[in-house]
Amino acid sequence: MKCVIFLLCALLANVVYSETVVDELEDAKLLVAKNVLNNYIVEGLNLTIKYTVHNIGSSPALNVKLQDENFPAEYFEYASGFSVAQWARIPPKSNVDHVVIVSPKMPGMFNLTSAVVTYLPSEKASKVQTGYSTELGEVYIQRLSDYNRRYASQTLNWILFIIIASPSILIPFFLWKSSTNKYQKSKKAKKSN
Amino acid sequence: MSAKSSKSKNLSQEEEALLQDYSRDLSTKSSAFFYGNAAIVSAVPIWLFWKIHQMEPTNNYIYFILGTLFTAYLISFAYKNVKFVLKHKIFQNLDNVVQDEKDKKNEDRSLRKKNEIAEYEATTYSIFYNNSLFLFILLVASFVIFKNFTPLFNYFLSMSIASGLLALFSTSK
Repeated sequence: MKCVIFLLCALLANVVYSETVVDELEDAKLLVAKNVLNNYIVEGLNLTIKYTVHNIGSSPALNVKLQDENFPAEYFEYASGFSVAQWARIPPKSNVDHVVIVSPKMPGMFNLTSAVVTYLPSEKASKVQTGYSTELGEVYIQRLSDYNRRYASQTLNWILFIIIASPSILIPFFLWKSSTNKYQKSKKAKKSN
Repeated sequence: MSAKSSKSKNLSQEEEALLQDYSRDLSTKSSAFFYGNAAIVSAVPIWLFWKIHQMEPTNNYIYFILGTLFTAYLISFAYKNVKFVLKHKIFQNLDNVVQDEKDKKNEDRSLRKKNEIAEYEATTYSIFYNNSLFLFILLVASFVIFKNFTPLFNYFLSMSIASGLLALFSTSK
């Protein structure tokens, strides 16, 4: 009797679980990852942001709109891409990417917040679903001069410095050497006589 | 009376010439030459700090001018001292050389020629030695010792230490 009750309970739990899982995945569900592809964020240099939209649901997501107001015109300039991306349909169990290249206009601390994604989770749905991407938190935008001082190639500048500095060393040296050699020769000539 | 006064006048001219030879004081031409060279070598690091340390001249020209003037003064001081010490050493080494070239009867001309050669060689060697040492100390100070300082402090400290050490070393015999 106890075995039968136990088996019935297990069967019931399985059915409830299965139905629950099916309900969760029936509609589309979008997860958005927002990533910075640069190693360094520098004033005036390109900053690449990649948004990856994953549909982990069983239905296609419709009228998907990704919007990121994190880069206002007074602080950033868009070099490539737009702050809004739209897809008519994202199939289930798939993902799409959106890449934006911006250029920071001034150095300092900056808060990289989430982008917003809105979509219809199914064809029958009328209510728009809203989701948020991952956020990166506060980042430091370096000054271009600090970045160049640390990481830029300075080979040409060193070569030019050597060219500029060498006359102040070589010219006095050759003048001294020519005078010394002249009187060294006279001394040798005297000794040989 | 007039013969005596002309004789004393000649002696005083000779004495003046001797004093000039053995004095550290420079003629106007030599001073101008030394200051000119010192100003040029003091201005060379501006390129270094502009292009490599990213100090824009338009924002920092006052500091560059002050640093160049201060360093040029100390470098010319070092030139003068080193030249003075070297001149006497070179003069002694020229003893047997010049006598054969010149009329032995006219020792004054011979001595003057030796003096000119010693002056020339000491001047050129002093400039070469001090310029090389200044640039070497500056590069070590700026890129090793004060590498992590802000560019402005790096400039002032590197230039001061390089020119200060130069002036200090030049006071030794």
